[in-house]
Amino acid sequence: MNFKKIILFVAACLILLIFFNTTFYGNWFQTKIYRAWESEAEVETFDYQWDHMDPVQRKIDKLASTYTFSQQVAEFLKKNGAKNPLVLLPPQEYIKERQIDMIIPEPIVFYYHCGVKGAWYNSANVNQANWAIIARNGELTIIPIQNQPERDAIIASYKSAVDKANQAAGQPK
Amino acid sequence: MNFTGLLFVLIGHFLSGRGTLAIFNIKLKPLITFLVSMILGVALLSLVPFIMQLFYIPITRTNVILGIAILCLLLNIPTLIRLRSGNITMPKLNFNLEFYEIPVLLVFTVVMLVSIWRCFYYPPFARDMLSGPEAIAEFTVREKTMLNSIFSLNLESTNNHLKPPYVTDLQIIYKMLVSPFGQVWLSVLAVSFLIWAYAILREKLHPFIAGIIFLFFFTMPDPFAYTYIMLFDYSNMVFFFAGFYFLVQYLEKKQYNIFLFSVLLFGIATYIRLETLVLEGLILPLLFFYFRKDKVPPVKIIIRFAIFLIVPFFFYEMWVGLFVKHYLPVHFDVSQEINKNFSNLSPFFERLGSMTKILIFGISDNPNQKDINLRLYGYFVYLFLLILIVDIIFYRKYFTLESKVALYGILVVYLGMPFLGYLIPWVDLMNTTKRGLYKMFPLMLLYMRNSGLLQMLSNNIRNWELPQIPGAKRPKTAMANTSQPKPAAQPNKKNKK
Repeated sequence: MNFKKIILFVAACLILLIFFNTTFYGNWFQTKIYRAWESEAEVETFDYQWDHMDPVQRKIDKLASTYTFSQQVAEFLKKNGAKNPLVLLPPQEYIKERQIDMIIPEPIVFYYHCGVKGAWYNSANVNQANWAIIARNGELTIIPIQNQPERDAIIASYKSAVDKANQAAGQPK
Repeated sequence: MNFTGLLFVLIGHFLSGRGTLAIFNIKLKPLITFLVSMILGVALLSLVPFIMQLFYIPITRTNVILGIAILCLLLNIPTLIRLRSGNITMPKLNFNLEFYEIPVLLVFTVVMLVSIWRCFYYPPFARDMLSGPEAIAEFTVREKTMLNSIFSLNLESTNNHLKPPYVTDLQIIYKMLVSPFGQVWLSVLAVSFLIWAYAILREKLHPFIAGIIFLFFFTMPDPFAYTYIMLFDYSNMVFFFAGFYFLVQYLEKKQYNIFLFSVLLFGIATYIRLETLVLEGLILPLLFFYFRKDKVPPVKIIIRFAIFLIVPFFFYEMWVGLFVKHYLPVHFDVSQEINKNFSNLSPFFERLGSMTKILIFGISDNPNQKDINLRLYGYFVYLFLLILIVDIIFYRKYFTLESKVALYGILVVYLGMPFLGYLIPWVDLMNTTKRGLYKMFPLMLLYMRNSGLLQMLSNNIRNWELPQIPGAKRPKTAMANTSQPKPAAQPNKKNKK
């Protein structure tokens, strides 16, 4: 082999070594690439992922509570024989106000995750909602909506949380 | 993972892309033909479920397979005719890889294996996908129609269900035939594109120099992340660049078929992100300049302008004018999305300023945005600027047509993205503009392969590596297209002296 090609080979290796030893690219390689082999978050490693190929598990690992929450709601409704459920989904401000660490999916994402229709308190069909997610004792729970006053009360509690958050942020109601 | 399904789809990508190249009579080296065919084939197959839906054909697995087969067959009719007449030769593969390219290519392979694995393993998780294309694709697979129960939901929180069908359709195909999360098409596109990008560099630069530039390119943090996070922007970048690449080829070779092919690629870029149409409009002055320079008659100029705009507009209208308007059960008025106060240009200049300051140079009072340019794009932009400045100071004479067109393309994106922000208020800085700027980066590569500085360095390495014997031919190092225009000016310090 041409000796000059070997020199170029060594130079290429040296450049790579310097490149990935710079703070920026070294950090990038460590946190974005090498993480697949060794990471504090085990779910991000090849070893873990190779042993967990079930699509549902993969969704749980990646989408976390957004997916499991939707699944739990769907399971609950199925167990309770709910027919044509339309679930009133709380706004994020309500969840935050109740100090619950959870991201509530928007109606389309909720439907994508579990096949159950959802609505927001300002959706056009909100008055058809027959189930609702509310906070109780620091946890989210699903309750059936029996009548319009009950529905109005839930909507009012959602709206109040949004208004308070807007006021705090200096936005109009 | 259904490997038979994957093989079928991969063959489908190749055949549809290859057939289209043959229709346009685009001649490239075998490796580049394969890569461009795969890239093109990804977009072409995405048309299958969409066309089926236009004709209300149930989108079942069998129908999708048949649709792909028919598309491949139709696009390969000219090739089949040539094959029957025996007027076809088998390509000779010649990779001609140098020993010293292996380190960089090895790192590239490792990085891309991680990307491919994540693309396959993780479910789609970008919000813009889950609240639009991915959700529609999932329920299309279940309900056999793109006009499915998603459109019976409350969609006030999103407009993502109105975005073009490119991702939706590819997800339908891959979910039906390959894996439950689809997405692997993104790896096919990203890997093909990156290898092509390297081959483009290597055509004109010494492989050692090409490798270093390529290293800065494929390690750009944000674009790398989108080689496995499914969204529109990476694909949009690929096709916008491909359009530009073949536009340069046309301007150099003056072959009309290449112009038409370039227009098709710009059309596909529009089909992926509709607002690309605006950027394509900004390319017209460049075309006008070269048409005038080549003394093209005014009537022909008008016809070519019309073709250049009509094809992307056709793709735009196919979705907005036809499908959204007449098929989707939801109302959408595009005029509501556009800025009404055209006389006030301050949003354009504000966006241009914040884009330059924050996204390109990382200057911001917000501590979260400080140095964000590096976190997004690494040092690639700085590398480009450094090379450009050195070229402007020392190698002004060596600017080629390709480097000028590439610089014009960069300018189109640089001014076009803020213009889009001014035109369409929902085009924000930290999402749409941040990813829209991707389109500049392969154009920067295209510039760099013509850079006087890099050409000089390449020539010096070549001369040192293989001192030229008078009368002897230097072996070819480029693994890509030989049907290249005349090589870029090759400054050499020794020769200059």
